[in-house]
Amino acid sequence: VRPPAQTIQLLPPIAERPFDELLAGARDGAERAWTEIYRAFSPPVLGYLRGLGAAEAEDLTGEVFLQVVRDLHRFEGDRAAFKAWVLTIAHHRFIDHTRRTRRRPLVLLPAPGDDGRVAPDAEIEAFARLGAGRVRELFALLSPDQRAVLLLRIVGDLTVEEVGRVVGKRPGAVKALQRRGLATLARRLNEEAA
Amino acid sequence: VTRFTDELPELAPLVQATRDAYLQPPPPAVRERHVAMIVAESRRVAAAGAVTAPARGFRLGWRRFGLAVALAAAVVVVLLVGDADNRPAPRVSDPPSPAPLSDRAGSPQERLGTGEPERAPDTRSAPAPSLPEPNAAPEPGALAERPQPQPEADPAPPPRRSYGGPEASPAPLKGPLDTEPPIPTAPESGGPAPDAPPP
Repeated sequence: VRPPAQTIQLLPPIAERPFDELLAGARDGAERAWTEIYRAFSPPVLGYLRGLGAAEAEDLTGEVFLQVVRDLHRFEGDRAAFKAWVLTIAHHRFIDHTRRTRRRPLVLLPAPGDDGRVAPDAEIEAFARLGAGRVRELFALLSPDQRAVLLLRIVGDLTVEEVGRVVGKRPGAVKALQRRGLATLARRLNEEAA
Repeated sequence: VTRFTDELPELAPLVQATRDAYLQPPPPAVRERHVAMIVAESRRVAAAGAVTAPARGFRLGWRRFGLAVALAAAVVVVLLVGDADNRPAPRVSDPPSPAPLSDRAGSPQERLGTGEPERAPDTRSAPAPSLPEPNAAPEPGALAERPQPQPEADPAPPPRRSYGGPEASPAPLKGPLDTEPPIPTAPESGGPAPDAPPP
């Protein structure tokens, strides 16, 4: 029996429990609540950081959630707002991380799943690696702002307004960045098809 | 408010490929380490929040108390300094401070009032004047710390008290009673004057 694919289990359903109860348990330090929160929101955070090119995306993800713990008493909102808030923290953390690592030599980023710690099915891994490679090539053509906007919209599944709040831009600017980024990707795909 | 796939359904293959590429959970070991770290931090924050609220109130109370004490001390200092500058002169009815006999000038006879002129007491050694006369009292409003105009600085005693004897006045006035010689007058009976030489 083949194990289930990793990509199928990306969004564990936490909607069974009311989100307010989950936050209340997290504020009290309940391990179960934090386990659910981490399981639900760590994939978009890690994917966003990887897509931006963070050298130590996993460690940075841990730092993001530690900041979430420290600032949780300030948060008020539903699940969607919470995800946007967590991704905002991730965005700021990445900016700080980039500023720190500018003095260090550039590190070649491994593709997701290349570190050997995730061992899904071989066929699925091959497909994901191929897809990841193509996606990485395509996203490498984008500007940093276009990449951040598209990652937040696709990986984070945020709205234009939420993306604007994360990156500190107006919705019109977010739409413009998204339009230009998608145009770049479409042009590249057409070139490959031709 | 629309999501990306709702807004651009034609890009569904790209969206799916991107999510497959990036949306992967952390490895189990990383997840366990992160969850343990997060739970420990959460409990630390919760404990700190439970302790911080009373401690903050306690510190605030002590801060207010210290501020009140400092203000009270400042007011007291200001009042004392202002009182030292505007301290009123001691009144005549105030009980005079007894001055030691050794500080009083003059001989015992002079102090007993045997015709000798009284001297004002040394106000430098005895701050409160012991003279019953209002004239000898210090001027109202005079500063206690400042040297008072000393009555004994004028060695001349009051002239009205110098009639008691020759020692009373260092510069006795020459009155008509005892200093001027008698004026010779002519005898009324036509005889020679008593002091006139005999013919």
